[in-house]
Amino acid sequence: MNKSSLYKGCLEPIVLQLLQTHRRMYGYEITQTVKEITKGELQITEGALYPLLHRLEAQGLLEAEMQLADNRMRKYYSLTKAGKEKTKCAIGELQVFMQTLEHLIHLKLT
Amino acid sequence: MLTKEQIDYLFDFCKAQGVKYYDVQVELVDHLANAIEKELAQHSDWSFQKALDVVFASFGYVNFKPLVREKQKAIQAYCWRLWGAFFKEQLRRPAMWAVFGLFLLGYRILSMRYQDLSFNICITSGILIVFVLFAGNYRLKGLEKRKGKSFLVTNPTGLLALLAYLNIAIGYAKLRIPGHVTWLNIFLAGTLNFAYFLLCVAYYRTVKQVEKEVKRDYPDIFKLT
Repeated sequence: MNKSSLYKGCLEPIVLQLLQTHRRMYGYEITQTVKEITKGELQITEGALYPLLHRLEAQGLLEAEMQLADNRMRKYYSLTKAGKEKTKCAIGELQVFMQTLEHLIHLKLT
Repeated sequence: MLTKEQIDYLFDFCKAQGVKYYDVQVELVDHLANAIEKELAQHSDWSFQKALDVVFASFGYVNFKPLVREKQKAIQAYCWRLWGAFFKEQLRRPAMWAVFGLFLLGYRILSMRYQDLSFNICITSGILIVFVLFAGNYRLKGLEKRKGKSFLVTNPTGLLALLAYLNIAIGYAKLRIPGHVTWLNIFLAGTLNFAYFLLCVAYYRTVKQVEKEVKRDYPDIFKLT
């Protein structure tokens, strides 16, 4: 099975959690941080990341701030109050999902 | 660090790949520039163009149009949300209910004068829609024209389409109301027009909010205004 399809459903909580930890990040930084943390195991494609960021921003979970960096404008994302609440829920749901998955896998092996 | 010429080239590259909106270009250019800088640091023998080709290939797109479409959907959703919020907020304002009263009174006066309720109502809502749509569009298009940049966020076409559709639908509903004037007819027509009036005002406030956000988010473009 394609690894990226396994991670696909977890992308939103991953991004939310990263923003919770780092306070504010820009798109490229998110892709590189995930790559670094997972030692290249998970590589978020730009085609998946930006639509997600724009959707979360439109839902009011993220707020964006433009800032001049080097010789270009950079868009930083951070969590709104609603985004912080959503992160808690999303991480909780992800943990339940992982536990369920672990039970299922354990059941299959025994 | 990339030079200003290379950054300008990336803006042109984005345009050539189907991104005409500045608010989408800015983010893509920064992403491309970061990735290119990393590639050039790792492969000192690579040219800028080769690094750009490699980075662009990693997006997995033939061009950037799918990304623009996705952002367009998100922006539309955001504008709907703003519009809905402004509409609800107005329903809580006592001043708006005073306006409703004025609407009813206005219709009563008009119908006494012309004895043709449907005609008067259609004229009133027609003037409203023309005024609001033109004022909103003028505001946003003027903003783009002054700065020579196009913004995706200032093109909430879905809202305009719904307003236009509602005007036709409400106009049709009002024409079904019998021509003779009774207080019930006036109330029905007034309520329809009032709801539509609120939607138009909410649309205009959405436009104003979008304009404010664009000015706040892109100080490099709007620093002189």
